[in-house]
Amino acid sequence: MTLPVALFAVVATATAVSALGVVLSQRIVRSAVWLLFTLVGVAVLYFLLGAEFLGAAQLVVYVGGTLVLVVFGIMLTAQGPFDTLTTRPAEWAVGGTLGVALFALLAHAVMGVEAKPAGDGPLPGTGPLGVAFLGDYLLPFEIVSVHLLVVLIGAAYLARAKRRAKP
Amino acid sequence: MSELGPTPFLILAAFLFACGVVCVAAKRNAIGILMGVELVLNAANLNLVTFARFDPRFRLEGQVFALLVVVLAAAEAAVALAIVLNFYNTHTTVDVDDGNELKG
Amino acid sequence: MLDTLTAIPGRLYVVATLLPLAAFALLLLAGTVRALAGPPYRRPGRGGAYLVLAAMAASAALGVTGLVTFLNDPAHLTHEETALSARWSERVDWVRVGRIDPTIPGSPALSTPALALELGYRIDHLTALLFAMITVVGTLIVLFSLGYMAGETEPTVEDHEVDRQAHARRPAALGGGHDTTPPLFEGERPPPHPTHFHRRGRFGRFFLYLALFAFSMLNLVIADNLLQIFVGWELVGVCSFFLIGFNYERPSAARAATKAFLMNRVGDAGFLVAILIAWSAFGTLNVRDIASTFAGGPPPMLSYPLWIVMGVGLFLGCVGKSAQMPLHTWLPDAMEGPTPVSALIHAATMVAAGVYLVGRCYALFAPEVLLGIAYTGAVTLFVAATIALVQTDIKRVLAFSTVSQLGYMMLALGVGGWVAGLLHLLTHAFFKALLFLGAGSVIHGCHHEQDLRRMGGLAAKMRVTAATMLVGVLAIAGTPLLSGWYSKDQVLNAALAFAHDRPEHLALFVLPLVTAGLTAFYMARLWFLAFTGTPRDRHVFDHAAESPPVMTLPLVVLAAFSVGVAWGWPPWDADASYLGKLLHESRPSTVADAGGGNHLLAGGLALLAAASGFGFAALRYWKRETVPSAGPPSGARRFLLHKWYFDELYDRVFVRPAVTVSRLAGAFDKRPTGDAEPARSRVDGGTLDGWLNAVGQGAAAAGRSLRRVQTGRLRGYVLVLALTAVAMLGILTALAG
Repeated sequence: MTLPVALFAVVATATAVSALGVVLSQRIVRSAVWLLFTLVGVAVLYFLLGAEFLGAAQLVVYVGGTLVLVVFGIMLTAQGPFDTLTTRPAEWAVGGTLGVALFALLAHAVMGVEAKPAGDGPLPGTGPLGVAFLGDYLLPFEIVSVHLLVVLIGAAYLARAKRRAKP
Repeated sequence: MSELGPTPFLILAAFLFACGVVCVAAKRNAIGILMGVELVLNAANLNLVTFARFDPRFRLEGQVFALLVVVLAAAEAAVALAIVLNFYNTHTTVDVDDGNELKG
Repeated sequence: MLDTLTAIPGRLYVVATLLPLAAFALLLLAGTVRALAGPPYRRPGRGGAYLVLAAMAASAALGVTGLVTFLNDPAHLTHEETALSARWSERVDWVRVGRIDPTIPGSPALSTPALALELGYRIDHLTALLFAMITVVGTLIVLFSLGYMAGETEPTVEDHEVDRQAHARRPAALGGGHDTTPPLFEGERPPPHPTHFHRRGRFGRFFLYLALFAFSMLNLVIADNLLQIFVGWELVGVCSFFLIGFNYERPSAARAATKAFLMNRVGDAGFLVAILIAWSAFGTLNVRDIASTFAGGPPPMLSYPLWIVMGVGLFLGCVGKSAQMPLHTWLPDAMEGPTPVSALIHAATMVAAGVYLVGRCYALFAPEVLLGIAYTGAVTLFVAATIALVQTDIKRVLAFSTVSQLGYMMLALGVGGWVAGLLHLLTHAFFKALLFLGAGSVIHGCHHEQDLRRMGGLAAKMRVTAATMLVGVLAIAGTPLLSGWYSKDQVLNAALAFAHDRPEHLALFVLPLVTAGLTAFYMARLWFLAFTGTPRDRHVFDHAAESPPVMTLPLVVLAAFSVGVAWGWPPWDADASYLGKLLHESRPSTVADAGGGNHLLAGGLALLAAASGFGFAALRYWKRETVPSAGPPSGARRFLLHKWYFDELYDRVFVRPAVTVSRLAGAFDKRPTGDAEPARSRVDGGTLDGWLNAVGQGAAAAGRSLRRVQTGRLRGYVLVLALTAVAMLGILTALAG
């Protein structure tokens, strides 16, 4: 067992357990913490796969941005410190069965993927990515930038302070 | 890494995906659902990067699309949180089971 | 303008045809504008009538000019067909159907004719003569109408007939067919309280219809193809409908109009079938083109049965339009229309259109069909004449006389007397128009009294009318040297020649011969009853007065025509009729030259029959106090009064079953309670509506049950979504592995 394999085993296990934690936590704040670990684990996996820039972006955007956003959302909407909304066991059973079935099917499909001869060396880094974004992928890049602007305005509009409707 | 092959990564991505779906389906908290969506997106991203690594045709493209997904996920989270806040403003709760006004 | 007319003088006829249409359009426009703008119930103006009269007079002038030009056309002398048709016929494509492009190589249909519906006209002797007759008679009748319809210029007209019919508890025992028919619909029940029905005068409307009719009839005559003839055919039919139902508030008039329209539809269905057969077989509807393919016997593209069917269909149309047996019952009822209408449409022109069409399409009839035509005509002329013997309504006598005379024409055509039949058409148009206008004058003078039993001795009060009507009576009876004599003599001669060649068809000669006597009898009876003897109804007599000159002038002119229109040199030779000679020019090539038979025998017998009929009538009615049908009729008399029970038969066989079926069909939608809830009548619930309701309720139930699926629960949706994804993935996996 080489070092990468060992590393993968450890990180993958941690990620999977964290993901389970996200699902199974009764309290939303704990779910958020588990999500933090999952996201970090995925970022580490990116590093393992040689996509350093993507790993860094994952850490910065997801862990540093999205997750903080989620936590803010929890803060703004929580009525008590440890607020729970329990799900009925039947629903858990249905959802769980569905999840297991989905996983089984996907795993079965994944087993059919034959290994391609891996490319030599690490994945293209920031330089080629930047050239690609300003070259072949300029249009998606611009669309995404406009999209972000739209989201900025839209989210600000939606979430602005309003007089609370009469219950 | 090459001795590992893509399969373990894909299996892990599948697991994350299943977890995300269950999360969306089972959580009553709107923010929990949002987290489930993040999981699903992460699973997809992991797939993309895995294929970028193990299929020479997608070395660049896999990363490019993974990055785009990261950006869109962030945007989606922002909008979703805005909606959740709105929902909370009108319902004083984040329980999505309460949002059944469109019941047929 | 003048140059084109000299180059193509046939366009005279187009102009003459379009003039009444222009008048019609103008009147319609003016009437619409007035109805929209003006205050209601203004006094109807006379301007429209003068406009129509002017248009008709111009048409008549053009028609006569055209006739003269046509007869003097130098191309006749050399019999140059192409030169003649270049000057006197035109045709343009109207609607192209399945255009065949010869530039496309290998186009499959180069051998078949290009399919186009055409508009066109073609003038020959028959058309020119008929055109002149229609326009001249039409002008005179429009002139007559100016006087006859003068009552319609009042702002309000009281129609006593409406009240009388509405309050008649029991139908009149001896009235027309319309009276013996019980009310079919609930709306015809008399209103509970007597009212005096008033309506607005309809002076302009009458002339509007007349103008439209003139255009339609002229279009029918000059048309060179079956479709255009059909268009005119239907237009005159609808004009007839409008004019019969001119006093549509009277239930009898409304019913008579409907009856005429429906019975004509029966015939028109046959006409349409014939048109379709001609179209599919020949690819053209041009009468001349079709006829030319018959030059050497029946053409190969038409199978013999189809030929028969086409002929029968064509003739069926003519039967309907010309009121032949068994579709003759509408024409007597059509007398509900104003008398000038009866004269123009139901005596002189429209009903002759059927005869005209048979003559025009003569080559298209198989010999068997011609024999059928002959027998139809023979039976019709006899039956109608017998019915006319006992009628007491002055107009109905004339109506049955018209049916009978049309039968003569059909008979003549059927036995090969093409010239005789059409000659009789022309002469009959004049003297029958004269008789009808005379009757109209009597009716007008007697203040709308039509019953012969209440007239008598009117000759003293209405000298011009009496004299001119006597001319008409003599003409129709076949008095030598009057126009009717020439044509009837030829008809009988043709029938005799036919019977001579084929003795088994002797009835075709005997029936018209007998009927010639009957004709003389009933016409003389009419005249004697109306004009001689002592007045039977003092009130009517006292108020009777001669009609104004605007009405008597047409009578005089028509009387002159009735006397001399068929003259030739020498006048005592029936075959020398100039009119007949002209018609002879345009006879179809399949018609054999007139000949055979024994002219002297036929003429002598006819004269004998007419004289005896006339004499018998004189004995019976002249200066006698015989009032027809004073007591209850019995036996043969009742049979004739009921017009051979044709109306009753049709009522039982067609009308009542149709009404019954309609009632049944109506029951489907009837709701017994009349409320808006989906109530169930006997038939309704289970059958038709049941199915429809089941569909609707099924959709509603499906919607109700499906709406439970729309829980509004977000996570449920996600679950279903995931489930679907799993299912699809599973299916894909199963398929792949």
